[in-house]
Amino acid sequence: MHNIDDIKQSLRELLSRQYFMALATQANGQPHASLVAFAATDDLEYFYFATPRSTRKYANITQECRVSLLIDNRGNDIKDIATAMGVTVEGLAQEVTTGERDSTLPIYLEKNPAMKEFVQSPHTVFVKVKVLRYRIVTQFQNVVTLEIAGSK
Amino acid sequence: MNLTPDLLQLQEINDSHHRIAGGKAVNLARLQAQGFDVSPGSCVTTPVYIRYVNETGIASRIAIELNRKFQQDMRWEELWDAALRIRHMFMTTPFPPDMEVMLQNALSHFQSIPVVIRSSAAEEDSARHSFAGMHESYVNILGMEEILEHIRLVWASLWSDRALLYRQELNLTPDESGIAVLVQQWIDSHISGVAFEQDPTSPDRAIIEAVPGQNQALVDGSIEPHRWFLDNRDGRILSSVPDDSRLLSPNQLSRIYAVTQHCSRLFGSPQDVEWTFFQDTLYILQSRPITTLETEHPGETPWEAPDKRPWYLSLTKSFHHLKKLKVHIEEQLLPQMDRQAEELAAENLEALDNNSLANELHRRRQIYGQWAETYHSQLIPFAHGARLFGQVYNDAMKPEDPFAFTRLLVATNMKSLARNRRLQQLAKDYLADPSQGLLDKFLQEFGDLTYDNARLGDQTDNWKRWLNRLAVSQAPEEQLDISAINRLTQDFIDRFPPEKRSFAEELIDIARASYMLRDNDNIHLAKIESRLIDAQNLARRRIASYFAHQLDTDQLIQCLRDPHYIPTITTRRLIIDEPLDKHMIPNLTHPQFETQTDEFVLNARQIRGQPAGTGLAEGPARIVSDTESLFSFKQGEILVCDAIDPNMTFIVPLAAAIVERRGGMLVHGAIIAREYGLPCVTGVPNALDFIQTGARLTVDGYLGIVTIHDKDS
Repeated sequence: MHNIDDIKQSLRELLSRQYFMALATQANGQPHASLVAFAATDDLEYFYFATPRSTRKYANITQECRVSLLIDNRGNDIKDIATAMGVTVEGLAQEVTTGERDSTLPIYLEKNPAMKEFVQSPHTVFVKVKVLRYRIVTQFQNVVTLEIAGSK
Repeated sequence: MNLTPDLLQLQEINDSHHRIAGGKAVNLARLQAQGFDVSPGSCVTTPVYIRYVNETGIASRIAIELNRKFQQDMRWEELWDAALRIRHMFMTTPFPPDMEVMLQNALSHFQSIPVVIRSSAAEEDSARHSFAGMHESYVNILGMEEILEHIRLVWASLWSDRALLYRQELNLTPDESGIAVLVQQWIDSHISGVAFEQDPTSPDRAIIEAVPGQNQALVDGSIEPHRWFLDNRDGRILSSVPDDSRLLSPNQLSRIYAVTQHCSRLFGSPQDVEWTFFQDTLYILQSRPITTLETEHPGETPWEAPDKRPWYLSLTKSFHHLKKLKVHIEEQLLPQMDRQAEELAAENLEALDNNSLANELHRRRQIYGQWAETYHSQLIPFAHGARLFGQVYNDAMKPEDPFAFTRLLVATNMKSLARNRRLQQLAKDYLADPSQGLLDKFLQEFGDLTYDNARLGDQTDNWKRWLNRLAVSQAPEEQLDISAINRLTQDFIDRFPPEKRSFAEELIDIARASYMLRDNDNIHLAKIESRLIDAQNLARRRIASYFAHQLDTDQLIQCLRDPHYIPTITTRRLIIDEPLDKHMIPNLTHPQFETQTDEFVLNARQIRGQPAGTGLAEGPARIVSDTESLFSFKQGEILVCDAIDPNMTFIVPLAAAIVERRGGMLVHGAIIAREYGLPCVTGVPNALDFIQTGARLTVDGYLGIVTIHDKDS
């Protein structure tokens, strides 16, 4: 099993290589999963994504800010079961404020330059997720939890 | 469409086929082209293997098996377990129908003649490596069904325990690696052997070894070969062992010598040539570069060397070796150990002055060290008996569960179980009559158990506490159904033809003795260790310093000899008087293992190990690592430890399940867990880093998964 520093390093690698994540939101007890392009900060504390304001996922977030994210490196190959890494994030979602936008938007656009037009549309909301914890699955059934202290 | 051929005849093979036909086939084809006599053969190429593992899904199953944990965390026993599971996959997974038809047609000329089926891997026999004996060979195989089955067994040997030890060097990956198989007509020869163009210890000499009959006897060491030394400039015979050997004639010797010289020139390096005579024809079975397996640090014992793999390889003993070893252990070593302990116990330590006590301490440490060495060099290798039986059992019975064979091994009364039954009885007696007399009797019987450098008999208060707890606890039933075991044993023996049944019976005997010894060997050693601890304890009492309990043997000796000596107290030394298993565990302590940095905290939720005892249990964990935690163990707790030592099995009847960092299906913890029907997961990496006493665990002994529950759930 890996040391905490090794785990953080493999998380960084995964998050920089993967472009898409599954975002789970909920409203009135009904979970809702969507696929979104994302970027994460190097300190592993924040995720960013963008969505049109009229979507179900955004409506859900405004009702319930607790969300879950799933990022993995499967290649749709049967061998993935032994080798793929799956990471579930639990966090709190919130629209990025105007003040924060200038410092955080470049993080997102550096990874997803094609989304520039999309993000700049007046209808699009830029959302941040503050990470509470990572649940990391490797080697089929090994699971570790990485808590961010003070977030409990 | 296939661009590469599935099958190649030996005479069609050339150097360009190295990747698909492997080193052995290419070398034999070269020899044949040079006019040497080589037995006719066909080569099932590597792409056929690759298609088989991918189409049947075995490739992913191997990946899952090998990704259970990081390779560096896998002990050799776990590698053996993995190899057995993989072998079982190949044995029980038939060919895809079209492949079976293709092989039947392509090999139809071998339908009714006996054949040899051998591996031909791209890596073996190359100039850089010679991984001799890494993969399997099968001789005298008759009939298409048998041929097809043995092709799969040779394929499986790509993943043998030996190969897995050298997985990195061999560059083994489940979906890309492959192995070719050579099917050759079997030569029913009357004399065979091996010739070395160069004696590894004396380069001016060549060596020829010969045995009557087949080479197998030479390879597995069951017959001592006759040996000739020749001058390797002119082939002159220098000497032979025995010195008047006539097994080979001078003419035969000179023909073998000439062939060896020729092979060495042809392949450009000194060769080791396997040969056999059929009537007057000298057949070459194999030629490969000479290599020697030497430990890198001469003088170091192999189980202490940085690269322990040559030592692990040496542990797989043949049937004949095991047979001899069994007699030696049962009739010599164990009685000698017990006698040694008794002799030491009879000595009156109290009568010694300080200087003599220092000498005695030194002597006892030496004696214990020597026996610990014997333990490594003779008792541990004997553990292979159970493994050898496992493989033979699986071949004969093809059971669904590759570890079904362990059910046959418990037929004999396990000493640890007998001990625990006796302990339970004594506890009940003691509860009824808590007299000193009964306690003394008990300590007489159980006092020499040792744990964590302490003699448990010295812990009277702890034992009182323990007996009171044990008397009111509910010990689990042992899972022993003798009639079922006898039935299984008979089924196994009946599977052999009459002339081989005595082999089957002897093998079961060896396996059971090996399993029993595994259960009990440390107890014999602990008796000797107890006498070392007696001397240490007396020395500590005489020194009467507040720190005496922290001094190691060297310091105690110094203090006794020199009243002015002031020892430096450092942290507790773990290894010094413990030459046992801990030396074999490279990562026993890993002080660098961090679970916290800045604001991040790492916890484990699920850890995967090996399913070593079936069942499901939930309960609070107790980490057992010293005598305090040992005696604090309570009924219903889950025993979490580095490795279960036979000295501590008395707590097992109270456990709800067992979690062990050390891995293996045949390690002591796994054996005892199965005896009591307890769920058991072994080989759980970092178990002691992530699990704390009191944490709620779920132990899934079916899948080998330990779940650590959140404190608040």
